Amino acid sequence: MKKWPTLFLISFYCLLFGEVFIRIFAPVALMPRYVTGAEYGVRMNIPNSQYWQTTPETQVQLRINTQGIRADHNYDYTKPPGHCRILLFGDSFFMGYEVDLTDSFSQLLEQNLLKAGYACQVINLAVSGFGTAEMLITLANEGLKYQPDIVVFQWHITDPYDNVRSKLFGLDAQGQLIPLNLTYLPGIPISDWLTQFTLYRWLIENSQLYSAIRENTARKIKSILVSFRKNTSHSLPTNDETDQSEETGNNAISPYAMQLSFRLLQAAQQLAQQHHAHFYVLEIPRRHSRTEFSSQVPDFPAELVQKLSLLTPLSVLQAAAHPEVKLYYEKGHFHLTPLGNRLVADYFFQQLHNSGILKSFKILQ
Amino acid sequence: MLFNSFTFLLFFIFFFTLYFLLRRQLLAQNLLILISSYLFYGWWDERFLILIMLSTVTDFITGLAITKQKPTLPQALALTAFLLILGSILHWRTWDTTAWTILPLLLFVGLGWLLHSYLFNLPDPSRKKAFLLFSICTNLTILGFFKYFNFFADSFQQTMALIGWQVDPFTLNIILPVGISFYTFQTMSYTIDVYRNQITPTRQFIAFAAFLAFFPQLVAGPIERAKHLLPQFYQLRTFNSTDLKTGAWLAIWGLYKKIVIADNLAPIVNKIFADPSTASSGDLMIGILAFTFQIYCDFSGYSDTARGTARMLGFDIMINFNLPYLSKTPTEFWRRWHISLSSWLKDYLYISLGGNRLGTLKTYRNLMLTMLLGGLWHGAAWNFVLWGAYQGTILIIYRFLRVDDWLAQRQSPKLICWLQDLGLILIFFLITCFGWLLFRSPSLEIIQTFILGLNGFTYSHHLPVLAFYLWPLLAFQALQIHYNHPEPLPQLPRFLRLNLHLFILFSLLFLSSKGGQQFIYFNF
Repeated sequence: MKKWPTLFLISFYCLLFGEVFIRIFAPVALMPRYVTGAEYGVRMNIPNSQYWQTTPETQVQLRINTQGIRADHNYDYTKPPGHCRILLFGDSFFMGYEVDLTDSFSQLLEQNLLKAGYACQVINLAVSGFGTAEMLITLANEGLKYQPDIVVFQWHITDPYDNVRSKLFGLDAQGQLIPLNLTYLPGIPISDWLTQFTLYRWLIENSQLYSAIRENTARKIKSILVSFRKNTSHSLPTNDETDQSEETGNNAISPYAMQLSFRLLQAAQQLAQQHHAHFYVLEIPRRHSRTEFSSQVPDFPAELVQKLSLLTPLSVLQAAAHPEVKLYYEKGHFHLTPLGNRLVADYFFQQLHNSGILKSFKILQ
Repeated sequence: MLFNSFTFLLFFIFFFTLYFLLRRQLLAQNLLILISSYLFYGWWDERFLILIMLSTVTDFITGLAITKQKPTLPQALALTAFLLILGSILHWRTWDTTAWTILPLLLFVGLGWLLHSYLFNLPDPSRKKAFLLFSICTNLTILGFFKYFNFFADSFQQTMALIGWQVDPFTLNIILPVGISFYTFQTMSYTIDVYRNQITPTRQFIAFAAFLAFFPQLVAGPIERAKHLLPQFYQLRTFNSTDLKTGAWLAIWGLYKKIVIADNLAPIVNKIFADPSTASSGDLMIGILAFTFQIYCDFSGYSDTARGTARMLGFDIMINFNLPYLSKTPTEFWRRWHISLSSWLKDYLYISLGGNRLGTLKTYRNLMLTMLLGGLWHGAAWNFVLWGAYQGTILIIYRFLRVDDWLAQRQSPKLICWLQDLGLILIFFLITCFGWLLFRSPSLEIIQTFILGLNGFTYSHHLPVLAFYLWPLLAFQALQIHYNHPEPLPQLPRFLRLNLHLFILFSLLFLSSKGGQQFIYFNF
């Protein structure tokens, strides 16, 4: 009978050792992701959730409103008269991981617009881990309810992989987009069940050991999943953050994955235009080092870049790059720093401003 | 299949379960080892199984023939079955898929049989020599063709060009079979030992084939001797918890050295050696130092994993590394570094050349030849030859200075001896580091850049990384010295042992290099 307490004590000691080990030798970022399944079959932020993200470089609180949007207030579906609504769809970059709400791209963009006198609301429907396919589904099922005037899809190098991995859409023999599955909710049933427990919530926000194990396991499972699925390259980035590490080189993306992504973006554009909204794609460049970034825009056919209004702030980031300046965090999950977000927001605002499409909206006094 | 892969873990779990279930049936267990070892090896490229199988058949028959024995009927049947499998592989998956690819095998068997019939009837000393020669020629032809053909063809062409003759290039697109140098030396040692009457030839074909292909040490050694390992295939292996525990620990420790230390030092080494001209003096020093420990951890890590895995299966494999960087002289270094190769070279090459029995000059010649061939064994490239020449020169200089004799005869006080040892260790460590520079540099220009660039002590930002990964190794080696045992853990208090196990385990989980590297010695 004495065996069980001893076993329990040893197990507890081992876990404690692991926690201390990780904190001393291999500190990891604590980046909990509170997502659940939306009724339209893809992930959404858990409404009314509040949680902390802690990395060696920063600590921020994420607050989600009752609509699953990172914001401190709710939005009516009906937009205020004369106002412009910009809807953002993206992953953790647009969602503002590792930065305070006030330093996130969506808030900075809104501030810029207001400062310039445009009566604009920026609504951020980004969800960490999203690919273009999930953005498209969210736009169709939730985004359009907000009566957007401008729809912005974020583009990042991980999107082609995510689009293939999710298997929500595929391409037929003629290269046309076809729906494959109605849902993509990876790990959601388990995380929904676990999130009920206070201990689990405490672990994901405070235990580096748990975080490291979860990251490693997720990476392993993702790579196994990808290797089982056709039409994907073998050298895939492991997730949307870690592939930003300095040591990564160029990962080959299969033509199929790129073609699928083009079609998804075109479908999103069509949908937005059918609802009289302008459509933009804004790239978050890939980070190679503190001063080196790259864009995937050259991989897009030239006419598509123009047609999709595909923009990249690469030149802005390159101009601001300096060995002493961090535009992306380096010890967490390689998201944009407040300065990085500001540069991207300023760039995008300038593009919108220059395009003239905002002129028709109410000018604030 | 790499030791540091998930595939190997699955393979080993499956293999070990079957192995345990067959623990009372020796033949079945040996057969399982043989099939699993071929599977393990064939995972890279099944075509090269043919080479191991040819060496196996050749040395089994020549071993018997040297002592004027012929295979019995069951042995002949086993050999026939073996050759049929060999033929099937050849036909199924060869360089060319036509049926004619079987021809070389048929020719080898036919000519081999004719040659065997002829040589077998020769009078005694000639027969023994002829069969030994046949075995050595077969093995060295295979090794030479696959490992050295392009090197010599290329070098010949360049030499001709130097004297004004233009020779058309005639290099072939040859893939180097993994581990060929290791198993070729292992099988050759068997035949030579039979010839020297040091062992009796085996009559158990499956045991012999399993001995040659034994997967824990097949692709990167240790190069085992038949007199040590082969008899272990003749008797049922016993399982005990101590061997299982210490074996598993040794295997995990080896993996730690490989995945955590060597693989994390590899990026530093690769970066600095790729372009030393832009590196500072401090970076160059760190580059050499990092490679010094990378190659040690990579290779000794493999050896430890091999020994640990074998121990879990009930086998004892020789120790291959014994704190080599604490050597005071080159002679001592070669008794501590890659022990299985250096003892092989000593027993079968240096002594065969006359060793130190033919006077001073010939001893020097023998040392130089042995080290040159030892260098060339590592790979078909001039940097390995240069490294071999360097090692030979160092051995000769130390021998000329009679450092080993002085060490054996000195009668200084203990403290003085200790200080002298420390000085000698430091000096020889620097000599060794320089040797690794020659070994790692792909060209003379790189060596020159290093030598010119090493012009003072400057801080390198790689130093903290190097220190971070090396301190556990140095701490463990301190334990090895303190307890005077290569495996000091059982002597530690239980709580400390638990913490060490946890440290290694968590390091493997969280400090492993992201980009898994192949073992350096797989290329040799």
